[in-house]
Amino acid sequence: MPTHPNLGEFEQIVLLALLRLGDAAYGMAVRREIESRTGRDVAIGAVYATLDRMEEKALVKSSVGDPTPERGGRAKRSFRLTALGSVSLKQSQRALKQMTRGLAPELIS
Amino acid sequence: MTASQPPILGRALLWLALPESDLQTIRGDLDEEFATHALPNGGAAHARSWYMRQVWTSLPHSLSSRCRTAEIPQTVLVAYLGFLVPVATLNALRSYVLSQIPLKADSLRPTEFLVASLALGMFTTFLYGFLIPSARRNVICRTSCLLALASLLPTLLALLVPAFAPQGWYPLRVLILGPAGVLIGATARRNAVRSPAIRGGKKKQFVAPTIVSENNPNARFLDDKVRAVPSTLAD
Repeated sequence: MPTHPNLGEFEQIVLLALLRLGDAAYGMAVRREIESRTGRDVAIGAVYATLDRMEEKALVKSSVGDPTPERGGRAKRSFRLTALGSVSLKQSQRALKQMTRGLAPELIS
Repeated sequence: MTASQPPILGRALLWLALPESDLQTIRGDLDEEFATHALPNGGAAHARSWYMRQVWTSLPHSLSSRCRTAEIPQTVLVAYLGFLVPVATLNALRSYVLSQIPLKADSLRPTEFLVASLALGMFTTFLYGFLIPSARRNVICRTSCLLALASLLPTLLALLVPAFAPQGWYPLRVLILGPAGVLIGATARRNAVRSPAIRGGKKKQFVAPTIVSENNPNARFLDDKVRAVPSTLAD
């Protein structure tokens, strides 16, 4: 049975944000998505550190776009999930579901 | 600087702390968010406070990333080993020479010798900064600046609390002068290779007319010049 990297809570949140954003997923968009959905004020440095770490594990892949004037002529780095990232995320979500199954509803909802 | 621009301190801290791979993207992201969301939604004060909060909370992550990518450890190694090896060699040489002279072996080091050894250490780190390849120069510059600033903290502490002050202040001088030498060397090299045309921020471009056709303005210009040449010379 192939083994997939174990994902931490923040890594799962970042991967889910990438899934939600699709092609529009870059560092600040991920940060905004996490903030709007979870209410957590996340540092942009934390998002990029997590994305860099997951790119080293081949869970995500990044590509650099064209520079834009509103970014001071700096390029945007977009991220997308890889097949390995998708499988790892599913595995982590399944494990979480298995652990919460049968527990009191107030813990799950 | 205007209120509608991100704080200079925040930008400087990012320049110091971010790893090379993330510097452009994170600064771009923050500048874009500052201009398109924070400023229109909350005003200049709110936007600037948001920017600084993002910078402060990102610093630990950025610094740990830089340690992981070996940018900081490499510069620490070079700045301090590059400083200490020649200084230690000079000390060993002096000790050897004095050991050969009766009653001079245990004599204290004069101030001139300490100054000369610091100057020698700084010169070697300066040489390193001057000779590093251009691809690594920006990273080494930023890291040396970070190290020199970090070394100022124990110096300030020693100035404020004399109990922490080391004897002779020599170690603290080494801490500051090592990275400072690298930084000065790298900056000197960068200024030396920068041509006057680039210095104003505008790159001078020369377009060589390669295709001679009626639609090519450069070709027409050349054609006019040739026509202006006296026929005796043109022939």
